[in-house]
Amino acid sequence: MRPFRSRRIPAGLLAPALVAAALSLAPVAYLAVRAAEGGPRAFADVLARARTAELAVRSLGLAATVTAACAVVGISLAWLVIRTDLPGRRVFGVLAALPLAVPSYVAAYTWVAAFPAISGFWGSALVLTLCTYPLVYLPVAAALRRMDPAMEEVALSLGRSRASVVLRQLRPAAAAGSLLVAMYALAEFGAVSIMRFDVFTTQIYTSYRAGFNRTPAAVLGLLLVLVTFLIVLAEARSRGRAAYALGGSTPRRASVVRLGPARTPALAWAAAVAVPAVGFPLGSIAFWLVEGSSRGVAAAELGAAVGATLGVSAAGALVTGALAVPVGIIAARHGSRTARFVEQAAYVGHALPGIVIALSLVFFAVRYAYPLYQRWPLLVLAYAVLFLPAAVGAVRASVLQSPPVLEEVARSLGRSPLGAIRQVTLPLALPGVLAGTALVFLTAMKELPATLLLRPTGLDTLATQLWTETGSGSYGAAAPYAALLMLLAAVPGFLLGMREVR
Amino acid sequence: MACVVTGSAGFIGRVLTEALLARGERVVGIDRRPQPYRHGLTVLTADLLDGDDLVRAALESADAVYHLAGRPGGTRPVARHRLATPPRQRRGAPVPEPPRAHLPEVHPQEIHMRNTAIRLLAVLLVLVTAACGAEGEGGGGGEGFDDDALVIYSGRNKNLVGPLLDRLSASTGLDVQVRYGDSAELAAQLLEEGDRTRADLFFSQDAGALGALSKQGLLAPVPAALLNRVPQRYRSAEGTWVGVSGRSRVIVYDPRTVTAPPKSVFELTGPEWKGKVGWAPTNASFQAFVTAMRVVSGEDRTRRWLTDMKANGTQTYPNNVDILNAVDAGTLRLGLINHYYWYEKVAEKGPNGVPSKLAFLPGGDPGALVNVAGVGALKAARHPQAAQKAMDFLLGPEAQKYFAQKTKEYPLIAGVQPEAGLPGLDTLNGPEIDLGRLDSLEQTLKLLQDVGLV
Repeated sequence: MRPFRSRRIPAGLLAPALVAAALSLAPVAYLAVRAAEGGPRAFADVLARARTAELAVRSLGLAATVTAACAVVGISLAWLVIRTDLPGRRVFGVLAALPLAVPSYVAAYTWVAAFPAISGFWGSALVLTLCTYPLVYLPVAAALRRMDPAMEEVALSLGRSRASVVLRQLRPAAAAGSLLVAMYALAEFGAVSIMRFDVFTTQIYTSYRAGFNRTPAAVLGLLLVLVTFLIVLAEARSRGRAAYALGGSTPRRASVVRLGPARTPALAWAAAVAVPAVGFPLGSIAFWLVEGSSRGVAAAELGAAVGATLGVSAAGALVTGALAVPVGIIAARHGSRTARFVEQAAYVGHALPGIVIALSLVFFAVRYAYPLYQRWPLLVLAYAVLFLPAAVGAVRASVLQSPPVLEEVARSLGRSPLGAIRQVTLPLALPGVLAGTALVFLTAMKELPATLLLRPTGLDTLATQLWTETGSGSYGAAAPYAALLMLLAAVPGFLLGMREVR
Repeated sequence: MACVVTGSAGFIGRVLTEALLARGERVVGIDRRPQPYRHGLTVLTADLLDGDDLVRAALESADAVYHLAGRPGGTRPVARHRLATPPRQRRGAPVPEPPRAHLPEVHPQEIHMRNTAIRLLAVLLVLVTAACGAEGEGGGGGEGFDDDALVIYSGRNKNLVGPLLDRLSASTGLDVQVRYGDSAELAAQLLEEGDRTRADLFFSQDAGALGALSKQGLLAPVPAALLNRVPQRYRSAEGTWVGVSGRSRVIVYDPRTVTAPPKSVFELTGPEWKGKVGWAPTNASFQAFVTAMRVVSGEDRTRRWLTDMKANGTQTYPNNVDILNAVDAGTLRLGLINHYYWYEKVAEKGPNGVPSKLAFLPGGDPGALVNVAGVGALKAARHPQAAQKAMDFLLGPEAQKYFAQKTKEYPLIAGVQPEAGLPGLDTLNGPEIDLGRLDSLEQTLKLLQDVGLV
């Protein structure tokens, strides 16, 4: 069956989706304003620099490497955990999601502190892969869990390999996850600068930090948006007309693949990912907690930071989740130009470094929403711009999983298009909506650059406290904040992992 | 009786239509698929979702409706139009309440997941409400802004200057709110805010950020009485900002492998240091040092030095702290940093925890540059008087002693001595440059870009 594509998007869905799109595109508008100040010369200057091309190539190389590595790690772990008799597969299934809780700058720091020689391209690639492969693992595991085994059986009976069918069917999920990884790798600054590897975003930061000049930074930002847009297009094309094979009935559970003699290498592989991705940062933080000779931690400060972190991240997650629902449904159910625009616009924010998003919101808030400025709602909006794609991806995937025929039935029984969505589609997609919200929740907890610029004066989150302590070289004092941050972020991470292995 | 069968071409629909016709009923069969004509059967080929007028008329005039069209998407991929409103609302005529469709079986697990989902959403809501409540009570740290408070944007670390700024509130009787961040990012924020800023005072880690604001005309003039407390070279030529503490560029070295540290930065291009030196080209104080070199030794010499350093395998680090750590770890032999990072680390780790040592370069060498951290009041400040009081405090003996003792920086006013063990500020005799001159900084940045360092 081909996917249900309705030409007209109900206004009740389109309006909030357009709000989300406008919000996501605000940073681009800001960049355009700032870049235009420099005139065509600004573009020419930036583009003429040999360094621009060099750094672009480096960034793309890093993004490609990380994406490929994440695809290999994410797909292989998902398959082992969901489809095989890997010993301890549930434990590994949860562990595989937990690296989401490790901020990439913390991971990078722990690696460089322990192995200074690792810095550079491969160190950056290693850290980014270990921190972001769950973005591929989670959707692929979900897709594997729901895939109808009948297809594989047919393939096997016709003499083809199991992989030929499985990989083909996993493509939409893997591509969506890889897209998030690629964009993360392109926009990342903290971890790569700790790894002493100059990338494209380094130049953006240098423009602000050293030149106090916003025009070249804006030109570079627009270039980054352009590159991201091309990647999003490529992903959409690879997704193409691929759709989930869904009948009206619930697919059987797939049979378990016996690993046999491959058990030991499989186990070794799963452990080889879990140990550096989860064990290593935890161990390092534990070491600092013990070794740190800094003064004791002020319990009140720690408590306040925990409260602030949970509060703003939860608000960010709820708003982002709410905005992602209409965008995700439109992306799953409609194929019009508007639908594509709304979906692709949502991805823009993800590709820009946090400082650009933050400055653009400063720009707009100071002019048009002054009462919100330096209050937490603005910070929440920044989280929405930054993390909307992760939530949209989750919503879209889960809406695709619910058969459109159910909506049609509801409509033939007299429900309005919106009513059918509210009563049929949304309840069925709710677990996916929640997964997206949880993902945003934990990502927002770790966010630093936008939080620093947009937080209410005096509000400290765990991430900003961590920044303060490491900024004055007090690594011992920083450790409790890092440990608590990872512990808190591990809770939604744990739930996301559990979801796949139950 | 007039019956309507929707989905009459389907499996059950066909049988039911047969049976109804056999009983002598008149049947209207609605289906998207064409069906053969039969006596007593009116065939209507239409999609229920199209809102077809004939379909509506048939439904409204029927005595009984058998609604079997359970899978409207079953044979055709696209349902083109929406049913704007249910028919009975549009026409007022009642349509028989359709039978409840059976949804495909929902796995119990799905229901469980849905319950978990709802519970978790509830938890998130509670967290937000709790956080808002805490904000309302002024707890939780996020007080928002206070119109009566002096607002300081501080590019200097909270751990370093927080205790001092707390005293500012006690000694001047002002409520003080401090917004901490990175100096350059705060400068970018101030540039975006323009005259709508909430900041009264900007406390910057380096002179460049103050120079950027000054160039855009965002800083108010500092009263001459305050300016004159510090030597001319440590304040703005336009009188818009003033330095409050000094930091010297130094070479940090590892005494375990280096017995005689270099006497000039120009020695670092030698083969004995190949791959053993660390620098932070994106760092503001490093760039000020390069500016000093351009002024003292000329453009060409500087370019050559940078190129030679790069060719000599000089290691790039993101900041001074990382360079210092690398020297202590034995990864590097030398590093170009600011002096006080070393003292901070000694305070954190104890003298035995820091194997490295500092070498102050003799006067005249660009590597002996003294940078300043400084303050400037915003033109758009709401509390200009208070901002001046704060500057007065930061340039007073109490604050200057704090800088000397706690952050191990150089006090800039006469009569306050630097910490014992530091060479005197006047003996450093570094190159004299206008620290806040942005044009000059831009040329430096361009040079660094040309050489491919940033």
